[in-house]
Order: sequence, then C-alpha cells, then structure tokens
Amino acid sequence: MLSASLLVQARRLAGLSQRELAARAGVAQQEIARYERGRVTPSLERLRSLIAACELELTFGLARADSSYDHQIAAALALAPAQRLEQAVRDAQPLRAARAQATRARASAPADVLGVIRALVRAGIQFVLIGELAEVLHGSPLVPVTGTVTIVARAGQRERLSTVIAASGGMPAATPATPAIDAPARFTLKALGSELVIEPAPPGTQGYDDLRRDAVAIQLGEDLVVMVTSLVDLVRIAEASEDRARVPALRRTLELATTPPAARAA
Amino acid sequence: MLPDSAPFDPRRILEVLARHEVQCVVIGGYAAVLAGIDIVTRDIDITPATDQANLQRLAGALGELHAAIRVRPGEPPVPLPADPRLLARAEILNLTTDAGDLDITSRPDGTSGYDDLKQAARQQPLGKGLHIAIASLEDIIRSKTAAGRAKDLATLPQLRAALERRGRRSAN
Repeated sequence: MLSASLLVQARRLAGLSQRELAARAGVAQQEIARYERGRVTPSLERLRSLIAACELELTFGLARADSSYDHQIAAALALAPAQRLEQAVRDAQPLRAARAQATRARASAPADVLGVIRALVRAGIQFVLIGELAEVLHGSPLVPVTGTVTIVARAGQRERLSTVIAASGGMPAATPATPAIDAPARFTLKALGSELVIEPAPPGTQGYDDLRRDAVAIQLGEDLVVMVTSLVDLVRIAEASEDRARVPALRRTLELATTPPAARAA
Repeated sequence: MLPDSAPFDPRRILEVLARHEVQCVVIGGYAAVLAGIDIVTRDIDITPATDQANLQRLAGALGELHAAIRVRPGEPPVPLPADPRLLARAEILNLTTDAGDLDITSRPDGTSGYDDLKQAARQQPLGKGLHIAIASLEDIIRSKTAAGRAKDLATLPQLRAALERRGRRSAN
C-alpha cells in the first residue's frame, strides 16, 4: 500500500487525472488504477518512472529503523475514530496547561473542538476537516495541542460561515481578518475556547473538491457526522507544506493503518 | 498508551518524581512543547542523575507510578523491578505508568547525560509549587540533530525558529 499511496500523492500533487498520468507515462489508465488500488505493486523502477512523469522525484536512502511512534499509533488504531479524538483532546489539555504556565499566558480552557464541528455541521456548511484533528481521527500519535479546528469549505458559503463564527463569539485571530473562504482566515471562537481556521486550498491541493473526493465520513456522535480528509491526502498536504514537521508521524501512521493488525506487531 | 489506559497526566509523573526528590532533566517533546512547538506525543522523556542514591529515589518514584516496560505494540507491558541496579544498567527505558508513558534515557544522543544537560537547563515553574528542570532549547536541538531520525530532523526548523524568537525577545 505504500507504493499506492505514494503514487496517489504524486499524481494529485501534479494535479493529474489517472488518464493524464497514463498518457504521460505511456501506459494504460487501468494500470495506474491497479497500482493505486493496491491490487498490483509496481516495481521500484516502475514507481520511480511514474512519479517522474508527475515531474517529481522519488528519493530514497538508508536510515536507522524508527519504531518509536508505533506503540501509540497501534493503540490509537485499536480505537474507533471518535474515541481517538476524545482521548487526544483529553490528553492535550495538560500539555496546553503546562505551556500556558511556561509562557505565562492565561490558563487555557479545554478547547471545545466538537462544539465547533457541531456548529458547522448544524449550519449546513459543506467542508472537509484537515489539520491536527483530522490526523488524530486517522490514528496519528501527535497530540492536538493547539485546539484548532481547520477546515476546507466549499466555495459560496461566506454568509453561513460568518453566521456560525459570529454565533460562536468569533473574532479575527490574525490579519488579514476576513470571514471569507477565498483566503486563509483564522478566528478565535470565544464561546468554544477554540480556534477555527478556514483554508481555501491547503498546500499541494486544489481545495475542497480535490479533498472531498476521497474524504471519509466519520461519526463523532449520535447525530454528528463529519467529512474528514483522507490520510493519503493529509500526508500530501504535510509533504507540500513549508514546515514538514508532521510528515514522519503521518507517514508512519499511513504505513501502519494500511498494514493488517497481525502484521503490524511483527 | 493502551486503549483502556488512564488519561495522560504528565504533571502527576513530574510531581511524583519531585516528591521523591529525583534529580532529572526533562527533554524531548514535552520540553519542546513548553517552548511553543506543536509536535508532541503522549509521553515524557527524562534524563536522571545516575548516582546510586538518585537511582534509588527514581526506583521509588517508578514504583509509585506502577511503571512497567513497554514492549511490542499489542503485548502487555513487563513489570519493572524496583531495582536501582537495573536502572543503572539500562541506557534507555521505555515505560508505561498509570499516568502515561515515561521514557528514561541516561545519555540522550549528542549529550553525555544529566551533568551535561543540567548546566544549561532552566528551572520551570509549573504552578502549585512544582518546579522542574527543563533542557535548554540549544540542548534539545543538539540532541535531536545527533539522533538524526526523520522525526527528530523534521522538528528542527520549529525548534530553531523558537530559539530565534527567544533571542529576539531577549534583545528587546
């Protein structure tokens, strides 16, 4: 599955369809589809040439094996996504409190990230979740220490988004402050102790339609279902970001999430 | 962290270590998160002084925390004997406790251990009278650079940026 996810990431980073990549690489579209579904594993040379057709380079080398994340990823994968989020938000709180103490900031109240998501869903906003919460829902070991809800929203929802932000005690947290979805915007939602970040097009993506295609619906409560960006696409965003600090944890999560549990322990 | 594990409570781990008067420096992700880094997992890393008396106190603290050795994912942890001689022999101990995971490293990569880290460590108040020794940002960077794992190298830009921010604040 590693080859499959690398190929999907490369093709989407290049903004190509399977058909377009096939034409560039001189192979049948069905061959690309088989690789991406993991039905057939391409040889390293083949994978390299397909990635080169995306005008990207597959780099590799030898490094010390690192299984330090595995314990926490395996534990997270043993839980349902909603439980992962619940535990992660709970475990983030002492870290947020310690950081506030260290920086002499005001003690931070627990971030009601579920409240933010619920408000967006109830208002009928069409969005996909990205960022630290989406990562946690897929089993990432990184604790969501910022308490930020980051979304990519479908275009044309400016008024409804503004209403939700205003109803949640929202105020701009950074400049330029515009309740728009055509430029990145960050809002402090005072009533929910959280921040909402609206990203029009995260790095390496073309925005909502691009991410919505493979997003997964995850149930967070009895009447709360949220669309979450796929783990492959979260890796794609992390890889394309200026700060690639989240890449190793997400890559490892993807590797373990696509490995059967029995093989994981081995 | 196991599925039915207790909440991660790093403060409790630090309080127990302090109550047992364990001399140690906090390093790793917990130290980094206090400096404003957002990459952190549910564990706390410490480097203890390795003299016999301190290891005896550390063994007592680990007993109170019901520390056990983490093994492979999915397998139950192995009970940790409350024996300072074992602590003296082990360079790295990955433990699970009833307040979360605790990693003990006697000589983090790129350092020579407690005495080395203690020189630049700062006493960090964490409220309600709790003070802990936190490794300096420079030493965290030194250790992560030497460790050289992808996950260590990936956090270096954030750590260096935090160091620069602190430098600018000091200059002002």
